[in-house]
Amino acid sequence: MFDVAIIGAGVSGAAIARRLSSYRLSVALLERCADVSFGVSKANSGIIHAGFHHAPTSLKARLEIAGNRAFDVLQAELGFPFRRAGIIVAAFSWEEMKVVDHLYTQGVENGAPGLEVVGRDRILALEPTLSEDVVGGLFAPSGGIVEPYRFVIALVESAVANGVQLRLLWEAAAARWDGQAWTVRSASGDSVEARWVVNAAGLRADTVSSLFGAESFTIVARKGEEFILDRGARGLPSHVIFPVPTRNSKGVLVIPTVEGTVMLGPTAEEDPDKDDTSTTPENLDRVFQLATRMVPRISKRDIITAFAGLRPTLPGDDFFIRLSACAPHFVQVAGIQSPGLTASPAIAEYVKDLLKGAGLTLTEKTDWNPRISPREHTRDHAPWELDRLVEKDPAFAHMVCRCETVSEAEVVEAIRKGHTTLDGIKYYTRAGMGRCQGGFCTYRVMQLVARETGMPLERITKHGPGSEIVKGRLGSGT
Amino acid sequence: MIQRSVDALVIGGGSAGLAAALRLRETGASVAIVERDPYLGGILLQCIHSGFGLHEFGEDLTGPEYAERFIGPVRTAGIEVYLDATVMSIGANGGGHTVTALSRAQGVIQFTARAVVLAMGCRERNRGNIAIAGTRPAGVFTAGLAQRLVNIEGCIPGREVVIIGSGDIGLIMARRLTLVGCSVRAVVEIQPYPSGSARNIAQCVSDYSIPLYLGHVVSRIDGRDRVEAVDVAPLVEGHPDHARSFRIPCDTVLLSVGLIPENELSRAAGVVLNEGTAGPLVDGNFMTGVKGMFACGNVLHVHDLVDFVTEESRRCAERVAAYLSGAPDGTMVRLSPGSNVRYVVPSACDVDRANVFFLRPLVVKNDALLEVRVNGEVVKSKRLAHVQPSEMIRLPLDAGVIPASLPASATRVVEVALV
Amino acid sequence: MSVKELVCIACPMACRLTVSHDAGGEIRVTGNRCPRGEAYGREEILAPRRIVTAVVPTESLAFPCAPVRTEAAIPRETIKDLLARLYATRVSLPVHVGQVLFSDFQGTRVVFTRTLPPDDIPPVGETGAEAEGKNQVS
Repeated sequence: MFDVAIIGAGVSGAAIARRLSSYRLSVALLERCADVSFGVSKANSGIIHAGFHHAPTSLKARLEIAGNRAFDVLQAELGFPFRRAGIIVAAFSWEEMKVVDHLYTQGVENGAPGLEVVGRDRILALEPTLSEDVVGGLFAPSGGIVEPYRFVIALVESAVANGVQLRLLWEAAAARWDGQAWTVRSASGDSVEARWVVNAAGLRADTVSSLFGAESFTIVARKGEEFILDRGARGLPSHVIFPVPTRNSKGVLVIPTVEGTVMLGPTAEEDPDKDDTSTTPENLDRVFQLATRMVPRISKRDIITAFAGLRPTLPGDDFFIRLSACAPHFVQVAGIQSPGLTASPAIAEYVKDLLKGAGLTLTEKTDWNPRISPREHTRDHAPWELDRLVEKDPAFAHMVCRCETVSEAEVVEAIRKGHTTLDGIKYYTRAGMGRCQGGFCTYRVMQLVARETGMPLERITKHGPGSEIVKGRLGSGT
Repeated sequence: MIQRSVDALVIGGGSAGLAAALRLRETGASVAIVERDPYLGGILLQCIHSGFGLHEFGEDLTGPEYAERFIGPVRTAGIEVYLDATVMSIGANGGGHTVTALSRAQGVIQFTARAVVLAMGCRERNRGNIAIAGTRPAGVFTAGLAQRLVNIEGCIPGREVVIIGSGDIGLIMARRLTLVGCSVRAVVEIQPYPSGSARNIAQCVSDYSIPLYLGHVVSRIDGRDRVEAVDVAPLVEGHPDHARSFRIPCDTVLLSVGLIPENELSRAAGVVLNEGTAGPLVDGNFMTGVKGMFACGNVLHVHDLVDFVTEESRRCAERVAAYLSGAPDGTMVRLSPGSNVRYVVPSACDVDRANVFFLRPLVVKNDALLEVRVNGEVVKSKRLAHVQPSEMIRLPLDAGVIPASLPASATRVVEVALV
Repeated sequence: MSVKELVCIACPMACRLTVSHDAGGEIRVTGNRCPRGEAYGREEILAPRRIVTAVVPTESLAFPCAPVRTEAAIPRETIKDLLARLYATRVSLPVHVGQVLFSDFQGTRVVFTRTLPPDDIPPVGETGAEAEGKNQVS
């Protein structure tokens, strides 16, 4: 019997799990996919928003500001890549400057620190990659960039180190309330009992809600395509560059990622298929058109990959975080689209308060450890610093992914921590994310998975059962 | 950290590195090879088909057999070989270079070398580079990765395959996959003509009755966990005609859409690249803009025949040896690609020596005339029965063909063109 | 009478051949630029042959398969048999380039094309290099 079961190990579920792990509670984190962050979170743009995009009356705005503030401490505790690069909203007309003024006012009211409305000279001095057509804009120094999957993985690692039980490939299929607790059954027949349940199921929050007889709503997936440009791409900006937002979306951005690549996007289109993460040539052209309008030197020649994410949206577009009014002991955390990742530490706090207010006893652990052991990366060290690392483990000197400089030691660490799919290892280590897109390292990573886990090559998958990389071996019933 | 000092450091132990290292050793230089795989041979080891060595040995060898012809001599030549070792950076060091490599066996290795030979070969252009729309399921491979998985790891990558690109690698894999029991549904080629050799079209595609769609593109890859189908569309005036696109169910997609010389290390070392080749800009001595840094093989420009890689790498090694012994540079004259020529390598000619150049045409043409012009005047011409972009042309030039002294007003200097 | 168009693969010239085969068994080859082309054209109609290169599974984990080839071309319809025989075989290492795997398949030998595991490279490091007697170019 668990005190709390959290359904969904994306950024919301992971942050909540970690927050609850600081109390004397037994917590289960149940994830449908083969690894954490495999749903919505892995396609996140990785921006820590500054708090000027949403109206002060919204839950989003409140949680965004509080969440933003938490990232320095979180980075110190969890060691994921994060940098306060600053956000610039670029305006190209006086009409757009009026929107900038509105954003400024909104941001100040929300409590965003350091906001500045800037004129043409100042904005070009701040960000020389901008087009000369820029008229002015908004500068938000508290905005930042993060590696989203590394953040989620670190949150879960910390939660698990503090006692949270993670179940993967665990899809909630049925739920029954017996007056005291929920019995949740998985699609594969496993069952978990919990006194409280948190629905953080992203795109499937509506399905899960109906399993528990809770509120009825419909999550509409809104697809966003993103394009990655190689390291050293032309037009690499130093700040995250936003256009002036429209009613529906924050627009197509030019994002210098924390690892040195450039991300362009996302687009925003409704998509009835919650599994459709396809990219399209029309959007490729559109995105490049919009991006080069702001940063002229951006070039299609630098593109190394494209992907799409699906935002879980609700009508009204605000977060839906509350105790269910129809299902007992059930907390809804739904419609967590942008600025969900930024807000996640505050979402976790908010959910903890909801549970406390509803009667869950929270006793702080005296031995809660907020830190996870820092990870070593060959690429972070200059050659003369590597001797120490190599002495500890010679596998730090054996390169597996040349493009992203990932050593065997790092890949093995990922595998030993339970990341045995190629995508899981990719998100943990970056192996396969570089310019050759796994052309060189794929078989090396597969060999390491086989060596460490005993899995035959033909059982190794890209992202879980059904996505096996190879179909068989030569000479065995060909 | 261990430190080693050599005359010449060769980065890459494939066909180019092996030939260059051997020739350099023959001249008496101390030579080290740094190779990131656990064995020498490079990409040849996974090219188990034959067709190698017709020029070099007068024999029809498989890739591994060709490699073995060099690996054996390297073992006994007194060349230092570092395997499972990856070069991380190259920097200047007085009159020479500091090359830092990492290997499990030795840890951090710092080489001091008077000359560096870049022989890193190529990587493959992938799906991301050409932005094929659709989902990202398992089952999409570059042809080289699939070749590695089949021929070295002994795996079957899939069952129903569509191959994008009719270059030689794609064609070879069409045959290979058929031989291991797969069904190759189609080879899809963007150009109106096949890019691989007629020989390979015959023995890999026609022989196995594999449909070849010329002037078509794969516009979309679909499938959630594994590839399920692709959309193929004909090109009309350079754009896919989606109205006439058709679907091919399959579970595997192979991409054979080009090779990119692997020059990240070169660029980081300050080497300027030739836009036409994506390899370093080199003079008639195969030396890059960085003094004492040379390049040969696929890293310099993408070759079709390994025999030419061997020849080029040997000539490069001879120039490195001349450099090491303090020989003067020679009078270099710039060679530029003229009409219908994409590139000429090297980009400069030492007028006092005989030179051999490699060039690639931009067009498909029968009965073409190759001309070398100095300031517009033809100094050498050669009739070629057939030229096409996927077939490199070898151009030997005797010493003195290009006059050493050119008028001070010469702006276009030397041009190689196809008419 | 049947007429077949094919590309000769005897050498890189790749001549386009037209081969006609009439009811009486008479074969005519046109388009070839040398006698090898004529021979290839005839053979393609009567009894096509191919050099086969493939891999054979091994018992080694480090090197799961070894590349092999037929030394001469074999009848095309026997390729399936050869592959079946290869895939049913498990070779134990070491093997050497040129070593015979099958001494007779359709009149030719099947040999290994790579030495596995690769022969050891002499050790490196100060002592290793000095032991090889390195010279410096002055």
